[in-house]
Amino acid sequence: MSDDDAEVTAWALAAGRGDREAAARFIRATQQHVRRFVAHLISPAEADDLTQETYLRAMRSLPSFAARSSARTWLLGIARRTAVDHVRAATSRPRTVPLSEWHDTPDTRGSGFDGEVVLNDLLLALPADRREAFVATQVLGLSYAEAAEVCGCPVGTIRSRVARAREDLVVLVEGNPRSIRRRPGSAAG
Amino acid sequence: MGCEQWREILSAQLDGEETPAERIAVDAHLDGCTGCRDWCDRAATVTRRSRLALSGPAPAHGQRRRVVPGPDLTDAVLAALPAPRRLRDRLVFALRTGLALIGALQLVLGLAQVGRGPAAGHAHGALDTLTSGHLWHESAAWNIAVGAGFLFVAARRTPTSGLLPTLSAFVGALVLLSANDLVTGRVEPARLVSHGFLLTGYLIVVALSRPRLRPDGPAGRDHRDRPAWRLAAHDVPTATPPLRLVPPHVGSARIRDRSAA
Repeated sequence: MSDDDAEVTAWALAAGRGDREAAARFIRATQQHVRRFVAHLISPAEADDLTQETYLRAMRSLPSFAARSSARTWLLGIARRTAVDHVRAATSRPRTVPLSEWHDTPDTRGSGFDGEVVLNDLLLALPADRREAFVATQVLGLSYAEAAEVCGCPVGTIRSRVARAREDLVVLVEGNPRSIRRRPGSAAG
Repeated sequence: MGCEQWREILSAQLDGEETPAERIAVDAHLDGCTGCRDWCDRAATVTRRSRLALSGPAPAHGQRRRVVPGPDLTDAVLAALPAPRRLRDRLVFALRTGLALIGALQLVLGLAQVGRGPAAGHAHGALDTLTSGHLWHESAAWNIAVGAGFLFVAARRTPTSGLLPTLSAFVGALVLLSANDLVTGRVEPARLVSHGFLLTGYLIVVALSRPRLRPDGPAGRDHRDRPAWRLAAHDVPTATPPLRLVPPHVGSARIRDRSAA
């Protein structure tokens, strides 16, 4: 992981110096991470847009990227700010949003994704800061220190937010009959 | 210490982020607290489910991940970036550095000219001392002004076009007059060399005012910086119907209304 990180950081630095080949490698190596992050922070339907916007912002500030942290956490920090700005822009204009876009994709039915759909519903019910911390540490597998860099807060804050998110999820799972009904047969449980 | 704090440690333990001291303490607490033991089990289950369902190890087990695969955005992102501007940036930087140097030099020359007074060797032509004194100062003021202008253009990232008419007229007139003076022998060629700075500075200002070399990029940058795909995504759902007559009007609409009711 750290070798990989070092490589990604090296690409980012080269891309900052104007190397387009390195920029392409950097994007290719990190885009799934970013997409997953914003998909869980906002919604999968908007993941592509937000990912592209994240990279456009990142590319603009790459020349000033000084590798003080790994390029991956730096990029995820930008993704997080992009998501926050997106929410801010979205709440400033009235919109009709379907309950959860996780249901919209055609191939959800009967293919073992119920757990994922339910969990995403639950995740979206969490307060934004807890969701952020939970997704960063559990879904992306970042350490608390890395997550703290991404979210721009102390490690202790991440730790307590993850704990709160877990508490919320425990309560939500208990209180969500659908998840209880559907989970037992699934392999993930 | 309340159970809430213990649960924070338990949560950290699930992620392997607890300290050894905490591990010992929390183990002791779990021995005595069924509530926390229960919570820990459930939290572990939720965590395992989340990790499996949301980020699962790999699509290898026949389970296709829905979030993870997506179009490769590399080309889209690179295409949306401004063209490679490294060379252009360097060129602009070099030009502006040169302009700043010339401006400073011009400014110093002008100030020195004020301080020095009309030295015999450098006076243009043979005018009487009174008028030549003031003309000397006037030309010093011009030198200072031009130097300050160059420095301003070099330091600020604003378009340089505002300075162009004045400078063009000044340089044009100076070139014509100098050529005339040279032909009629009123000035030595060596004296004219100092106008070279002015001419170079002028050419740099002209170059910097080219749209492609502007600091904020080419004029058509609007559709490069703005992500065009966002517009489409937001416009489709809210598309307004085309203009049409309001339902209670002549003919078919009314009939359709009735049949519907």
